[in-house]
Amino acid sequence: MEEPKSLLKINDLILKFYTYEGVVEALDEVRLELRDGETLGLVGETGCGKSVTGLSTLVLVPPPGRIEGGKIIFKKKDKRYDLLAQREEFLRSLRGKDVSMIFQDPRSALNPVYTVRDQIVEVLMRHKRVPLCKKVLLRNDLSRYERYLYTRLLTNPRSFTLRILSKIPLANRFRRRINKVARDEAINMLKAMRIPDPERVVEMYPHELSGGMAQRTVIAMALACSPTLLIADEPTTNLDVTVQLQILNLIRELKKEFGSSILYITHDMGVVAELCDRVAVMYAGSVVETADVVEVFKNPLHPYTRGLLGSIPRVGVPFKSIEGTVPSLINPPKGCRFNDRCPYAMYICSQVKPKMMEVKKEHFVECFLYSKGPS
Amino acid sequence: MKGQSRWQEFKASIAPSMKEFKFTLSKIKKSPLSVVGVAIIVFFVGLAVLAPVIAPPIPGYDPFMMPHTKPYGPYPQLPSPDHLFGTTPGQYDIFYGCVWGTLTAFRIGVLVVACSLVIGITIGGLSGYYGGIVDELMMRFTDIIFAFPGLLLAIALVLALPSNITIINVGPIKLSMGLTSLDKVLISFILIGWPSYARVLRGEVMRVKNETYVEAAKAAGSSDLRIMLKHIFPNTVYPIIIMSSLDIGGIVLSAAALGFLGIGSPAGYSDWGRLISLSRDYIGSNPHDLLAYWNIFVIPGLFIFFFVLGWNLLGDAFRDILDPTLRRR
Repeated sequence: MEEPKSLLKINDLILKFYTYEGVVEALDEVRLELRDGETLGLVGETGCGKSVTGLSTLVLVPPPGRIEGGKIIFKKKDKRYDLLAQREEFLRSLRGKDVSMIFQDPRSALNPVYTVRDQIVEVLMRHKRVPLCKKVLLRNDLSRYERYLYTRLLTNPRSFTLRILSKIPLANRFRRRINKVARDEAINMLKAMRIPDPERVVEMYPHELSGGMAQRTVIAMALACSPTLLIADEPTTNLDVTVQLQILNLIRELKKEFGSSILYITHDMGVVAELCDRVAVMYAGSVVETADVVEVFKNPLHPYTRGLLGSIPRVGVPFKSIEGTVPSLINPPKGCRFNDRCPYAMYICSQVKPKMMEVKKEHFVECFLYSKGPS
Repeated sequence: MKGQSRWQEFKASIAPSMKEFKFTLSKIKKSPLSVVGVAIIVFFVGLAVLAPVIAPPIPGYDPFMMPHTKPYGPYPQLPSPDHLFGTTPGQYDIFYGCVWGTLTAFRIGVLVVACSLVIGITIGGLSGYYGGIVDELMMRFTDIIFAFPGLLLAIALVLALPSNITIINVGPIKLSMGLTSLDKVLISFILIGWPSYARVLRGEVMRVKNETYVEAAKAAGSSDLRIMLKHIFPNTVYPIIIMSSLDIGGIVLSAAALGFLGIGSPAGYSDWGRLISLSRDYIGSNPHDLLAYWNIFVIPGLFIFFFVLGWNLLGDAFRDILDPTLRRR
């Protein structure tokens, strides 16, 4: 039985990239659980499959990737859906509304030809048309014609005649009402992002924004529809250290305000310690350890997690790195994928892939060192 | 009172676009060459619009056919009060031909480029976005067209096209369309013109479709069509618009070349290339005075020259104005 609290559960997700050089086994039975209202840090080095896991959650795997097995179970209004079995239309209505994503480089995540307003309004118009119409109808200076149109739009948001009408010049002037409401909403979003002078920023183009400002805009777009799950793919990597801190604080505050759960993808252990409730450590396409954040820092179990924590540079302590290099995922090592770099490797490690087991309460690890007796 | 508030409201609602328009004008003013380009094209547009006033056609005749004055002497005439730019051999009025030729030039240039753009954007966009076998088929087809020298292929097509095209022929319903020789020139230029747009757009689409903002749009739940029209199209179309503006000049030049060779518009048609073609025998015919009868080829030549120059300068202006990434520098 699944725990009722879990918002997102990824079970044994297998994803492969069919490239010219061979089949890249990018994700190998990834197991992940995100509970309601928590922040889960997904940590690992470059190329271990963190970002791809994030994209898989939206079922947006870039070609030539293909999901070959597993389940992604997402809870929406107390119903559970296996996202991999849903139709594209359902997924499209989910993306941006219930699950949304913040990308790594904020500047390239904004379309250069549209103003900030246009980009936020686009998301709002896609998913929040009905609430916007209701807001329009609350006004008392509408003409009878406009009131009629908006009532129709409210009952049938995808009405064909209205869509045609909104394309005809002059006849589409009724749209300025909803545009005005959407613009106010966009300004409110920017205010919530602690952007100074949102009235001015909302009319700016992406290249006029600073890095931190652009990232705030991207976050505003992601949170515009108050998603239950926010996937943040290294949102602070390309920013200055000071701006990084501001954005981290912002994300923490917004989480309280909007009540979203966050899947925070990063390679920075410091950020994890700062922000996350629980941590999942990834190595070469599989999650090797999952636990509470304090537990991971105090009592790391998997040799890779220990190595990762040991390689954070500190003053006065000799710098240690993990021996060897990340294995190629085209021909991954048999058994545990860490076995050729692991100082504690045993014979069985190179033969069988270890199973995820609960060593302590809420502390899961995928390693034979902690298995009780021969399995 | 109410009317006034309506007007105020209207003014307020168009204020942002007026501001953009003024900004665009200031952008054009900053580059003198753009101003020259715009001025030239505005001049030609004015000439085309006012053609019936400047050079009134004889009632009852096709206005595009140059008036013929008797006697049809074989010698050209220098400018005179009767014929401002003189006449060609055969006594066609050059002034009339040049003025109405402007309309012909616009018709050829704008129609050909517009049609090629529509075809090129559709095919290039689809093959760039979807890739795979569709892309492969379409691009090999453009390769075939690129393999021929453009002007020769155009000549061949003009000669090969039938004068009557049957569009529908199902039982009793029969719809056919007569093609004049100028229509044939248009069609053949469209047929050889679109592949270059398709190529450029395909490349641009392939570049843009991997950008993060396209992925972000997908992650926000946009459909394929919406992504193509709202996110990819505005980011890819600028090079093509600039290209098409340059091409309008180029196509008029090619049409003039065809006209000079005697293919295309019928004899006596107001077409700059045709005019020069009529005076072919007199270009440098007198070894002692190469510029004898200069007016019959220099004047239509100047019209072609300025028309092409105007579009080329306008192409640069378009780039400064339209591309939003260059616009706000």
